[in-house]
Amino acid sequence: MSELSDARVQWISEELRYDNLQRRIVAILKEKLRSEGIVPLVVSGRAKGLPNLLKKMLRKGYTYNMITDKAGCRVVVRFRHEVKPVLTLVEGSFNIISKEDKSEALGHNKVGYSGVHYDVALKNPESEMGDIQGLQCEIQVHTLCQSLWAEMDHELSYKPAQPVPEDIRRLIYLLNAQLEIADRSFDAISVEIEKLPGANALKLLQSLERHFYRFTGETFDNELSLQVLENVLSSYAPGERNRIPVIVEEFVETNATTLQFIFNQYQNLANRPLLLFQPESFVLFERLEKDPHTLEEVWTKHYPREELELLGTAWGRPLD
Amino acid sequence: MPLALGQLTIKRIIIHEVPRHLRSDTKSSPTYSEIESPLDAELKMFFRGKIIETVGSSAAYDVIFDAATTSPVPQFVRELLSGKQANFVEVSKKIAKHLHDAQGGASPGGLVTVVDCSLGAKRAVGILKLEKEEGVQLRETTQGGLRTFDVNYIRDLILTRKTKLFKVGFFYPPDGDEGDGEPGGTVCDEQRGYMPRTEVAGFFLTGFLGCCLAEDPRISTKRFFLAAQEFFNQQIKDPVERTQALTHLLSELTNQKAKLNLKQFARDHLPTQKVQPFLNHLEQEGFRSLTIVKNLELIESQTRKMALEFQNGVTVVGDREAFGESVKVDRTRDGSARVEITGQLKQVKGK
Repeated sequence: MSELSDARVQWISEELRYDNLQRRIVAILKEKLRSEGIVPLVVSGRAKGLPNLLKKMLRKGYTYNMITDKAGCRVVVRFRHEVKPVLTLVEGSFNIISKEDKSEALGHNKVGYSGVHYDVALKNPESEMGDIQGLQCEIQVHTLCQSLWAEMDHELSYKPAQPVPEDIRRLIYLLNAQLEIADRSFDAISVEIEKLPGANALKLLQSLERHFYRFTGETFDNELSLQVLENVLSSYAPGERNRIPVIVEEFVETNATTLQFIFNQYQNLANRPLLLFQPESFVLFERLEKDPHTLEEVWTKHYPREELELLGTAWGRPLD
Repeated sequence: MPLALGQLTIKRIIIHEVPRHLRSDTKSSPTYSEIESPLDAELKMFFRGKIIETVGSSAAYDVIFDAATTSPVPQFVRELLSGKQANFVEVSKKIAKHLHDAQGGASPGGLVTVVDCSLGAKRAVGILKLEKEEGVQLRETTQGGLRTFDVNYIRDLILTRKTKLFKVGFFYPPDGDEGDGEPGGTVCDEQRGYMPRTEVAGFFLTGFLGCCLAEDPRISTKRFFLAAQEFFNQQIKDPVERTQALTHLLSELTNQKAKLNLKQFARDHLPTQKVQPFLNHLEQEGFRSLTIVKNLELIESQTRKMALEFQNGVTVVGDREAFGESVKVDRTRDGSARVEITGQLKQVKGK
């Protein structure tokens, strides 16, 4: 049999193991990112498709064992300053076989793809699934702009039957330069925005919306949400404030059954707590559970106590 | 931490009217509903809210069935919780009849409401006594030839606050597999919050529900006394605030009120940032009810005196009342305590 035929047979017998590996790595990444309070845009994985694996061997003259991305995972973040914490997390979570920062090869006078790629294996304690122990997986970490460049470059450069003319390739690289400028500009803007009053509330609301739509399909008053969140954030201890999205996420996961139950109970009632069908209800429930006294103090400086009482009753912890 | 009631669902409710009557009046009897009360979702949510606001409040306390009781209610509750052979309507009528027969002329008439509910996957039972305003008349109606109360009447009665003084008993299966062990119970009697200690074992709790407190008040009082002092000494650094907290603790334990609401104590007497940590500390110490019925028997001598013990070996001990009048505690710039004692020197001696 030819090398390709051997590879085909081997891959068919190993594909499921690599698929299990990428699922396990994605799960580890999601869990650790969440516990660190990092909210990535995408965490995804895949086992390589058989045709792509064989084509890569053919194109690059690789043997089966030289293909290191049989399992691959991707973490895409919005902003450049979010990349470094992800890299730290990856390096602490897996056995690093190799690391390649694509930007290092570019120098100051070239443009191109600049993500960071790792080849990793599970650390021993993580290898509870014996059949994936020792297998290798590629993890790519990049920003949304870098991801866009990688996709478009691949789409535009390799699709035609004949090589792309130099002039068009130059245009593609000029676009890449523009994307890098956009990447850096978005990053600078996001840092500036985070310094503005109300930014924390906005960031928190964005993370709450995801939970909100999971439990209810209702629309909500965005301005009210921002105002309430801005006002109740001080009910958290200073040391907790940068972890609020994580605290609330853990609360939602722990209490998902009760939350769903409560939203269902009140769904069709005309007379229901004003703030129940608002995303900030998750924060208010969490505070009612953990520190109702401080919440009440903060709340009554801005809003009628009665509204918090109604939420407390809905949650099953009356304010008394 | 009080019972988690977020997943409380009201499944069905039945209301019976129990009139005020003298025990000698043998002609008086309750007006029974013969079918479940036809309540809409809004009224069910109202009852859910009322149970949560009372049973989940810091004024509620844990109870158990009294093994020596003559009340039939514990057995009725067991039957309803088991869901076996229990005819909800008939059992609820027997509960209303027991209240009617057992209560004397001093007790106002009212509505006995038996609530079949669930708490998550478990069945639960609520028994409420609602006292309605004098002169509010019951309006009966029939459904399928069976008597019940007009739903509009109930709505008017409940939602326009023509009822008052909810007394609530709430019972649920023990933790673990249902059917093993005795049910748990929580009672809230809003009427009895500040009654003299002689009235603690009220008729609703003992005579009607057949319950007693889950923990001997002597034990719960001592446990609270020790837990509170531990918190003061570990968590309140300021000498003035710490001394004041102890003074308030002794004062609240020794006043004439029969019960002590621990949450209210914290709110009234602790620095605001210490309230939640104090409640968390009590939870860690195993306090589920936030109201205790006071009994000082085990700590009588410890509540008569106060002591300030310093790291340098000096201890100031004195009668609690004399302490309040003659000892002033202040703080110095470095956070140390300065104690000023004013009084006629009686004697000095080596010790």
